[in-house]
Amino acid sequence: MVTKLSPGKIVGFVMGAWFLSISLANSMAGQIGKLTESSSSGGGELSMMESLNQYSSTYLTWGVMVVFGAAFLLLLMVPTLRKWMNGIH
Amino acid sequence: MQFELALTLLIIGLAFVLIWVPIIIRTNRDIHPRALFTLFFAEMWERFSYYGMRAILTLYMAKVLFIDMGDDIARTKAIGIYGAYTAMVYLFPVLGGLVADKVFGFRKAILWGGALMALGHFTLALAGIPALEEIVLIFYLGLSLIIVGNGYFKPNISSFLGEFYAKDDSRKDAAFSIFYMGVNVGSLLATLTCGYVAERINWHLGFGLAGIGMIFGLIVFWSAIKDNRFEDKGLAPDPEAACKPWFAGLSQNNVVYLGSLLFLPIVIFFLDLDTVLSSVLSVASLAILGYFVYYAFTAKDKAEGQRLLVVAVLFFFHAVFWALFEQAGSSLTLFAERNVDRMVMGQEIPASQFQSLNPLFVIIFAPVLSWLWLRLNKAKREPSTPMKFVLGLSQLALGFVVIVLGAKFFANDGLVPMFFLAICYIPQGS
Repeated sequence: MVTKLSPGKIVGFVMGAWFLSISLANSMAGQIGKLTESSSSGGGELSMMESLNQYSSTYLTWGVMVVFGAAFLLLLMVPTLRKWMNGIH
Repeated sequence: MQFELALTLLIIGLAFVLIWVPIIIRTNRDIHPRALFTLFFAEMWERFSYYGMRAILTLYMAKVLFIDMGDDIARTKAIGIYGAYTAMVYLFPVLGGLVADKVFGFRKAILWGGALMALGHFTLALAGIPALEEIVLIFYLGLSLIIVGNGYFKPNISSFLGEFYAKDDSRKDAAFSIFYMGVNVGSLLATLTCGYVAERINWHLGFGLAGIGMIFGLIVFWSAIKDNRFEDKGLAPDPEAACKPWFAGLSQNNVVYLGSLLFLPIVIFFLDLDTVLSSVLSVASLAILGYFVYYAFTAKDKAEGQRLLVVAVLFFFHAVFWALFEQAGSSLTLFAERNVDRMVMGQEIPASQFQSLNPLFVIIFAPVLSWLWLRLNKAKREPSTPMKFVLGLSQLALGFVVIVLGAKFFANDGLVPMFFLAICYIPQGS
C-alpha cells in the first residue's frame, strides 16, 4: 500500500517512515498505558475498586473516545483521500 | 495427576497447531518452493521466542524486577519500559534492512540477528541466578540484544522470502499469507507456553524457553543453508569488498559487527528514559511529516504529491491505531492480572495466557477476511485503504467499549468477568 502511494525516488525513505509511525505508536502506547496507573497516588496502594475505575476511565477516554473520534474524522476525509490517491485503491 | 487448567490450555493450543500446520503444508507443498516452508519454520520459532518473551515481560517487571519500588511505581515503570522496548523493536529493522542490502546479504543478516536475539533471551534467563537477580543492567542488556538482533532478523527474513518469487508471480500473496500463518502460530504457542512456564514455574525459565525457541529457528535456517536449499539466493552483494579494509582499517563486515554492539548502550539509555524516547520519536515524526507536505507541494507531478499527502494522513491514524492496540501487551495484561476474574473451575488462568487470544483470532479470522476482500474485489466493491483504516479503528474502539461496559456494569468487588476481556480481543484480531 505504502509502496504504491510513494514517489518512486523516495520509496525506501517512505517505507522507513512507515516503520517510524509504528515505533512512535508503541512509544505513545507506553505513555497512554501509564495513565492506567494512579497519577495522584500519594504512595498509597489503590484498592481493587479504585484501580478498576482508573482502568475503565482511561480506556473510555483513549480507547473509546479518541479512537472513535479518529475513525469518524478519517471517515470524513475518505472522499478527499480517495481523490488524492489518483486511481490507486 | 491433578488436573491443571493452564497446562490444559497449552496442550489444546499445541494440538491445534499440530493439526493446523500439517494441513497448510500438505495443501501447498507442490505449489510453492521448498524455501517457503523452511522460512515458515525459522520465522515460527523466531516469533515464538519474541512473543514468548513479550508475553511475560510486563508482568515480570511489574511483579518481580521492580517490586521493591512499590506496586504502583513498578507497574508504571513496566509499562514505560515495555513501550520503549517495542518502539525500538520497530526502529531497528530500517537499519537491518539497509545492512543486508549493502553488506551482509539476507542469509548473513538473518543468522547474525538470530544469534543476537538468542543471546539476549539467554541473558534474561541468566538474570535468574540469585547473585545476578538484582542487577537491572543485565536485564536491560538482554532487552537491547533482542532489539538489535530483531532489527537484522525480522525485516530480512520477509524480504528473503520475496526472492523466491518473480515480481509478478501470482503465488506471492499466498506465500506471504502462509508465512504470516507461521508468525501467528509461533506467537500462539509462545504465549501459552512461556506464559505457563514463567508464571507457574519460574520467570527465568520462561525467558530461557524463548531463547531455546530462537535456537530452533537458527538450526532450521542453518541446516537449510547446509542443504543448499536456498540455491544462490540471499548471498552478500559483494563478499570480497565486505572483507577488505574500509573504514579505519576495519572491513565493512567488522564495522557492522562493531556498530551493532555500539548501539547496545544507546538502546539501554532509551529503555531507561522512555519519555525521552517518546519526545525524540515525536519530533522525528513531525519533521518527516513536514518533509512529506513540503515534497507534496513542490512536486512537479501533482498526482504524486497528492498520493504522498495520503501517506502523511494515514501515518497519523496508523499511529493512533497501534498506540491503543498495543495496550494488549502492557496495560491490558496488568488489567487482566489485577481486575479480571480469571477463575475457571476453581483454577486461575495466568494473565499472560490471555495474550494468546490475539494470534488465535488472527489465525481464525485472517483467511475469512482475505476471502472477503477477494470477493469484494471481484465485485469491485472492496473498501479503499483509508476506509479499511476507518473499519480497523472502529473495531478497536468497540473492543474497548466492551471492556468499559464490563467494568462499569458487570464487575464484582472490582473484578470483571474474563468473558469481557476475551470478547474485546475478537475485533482486535481482525
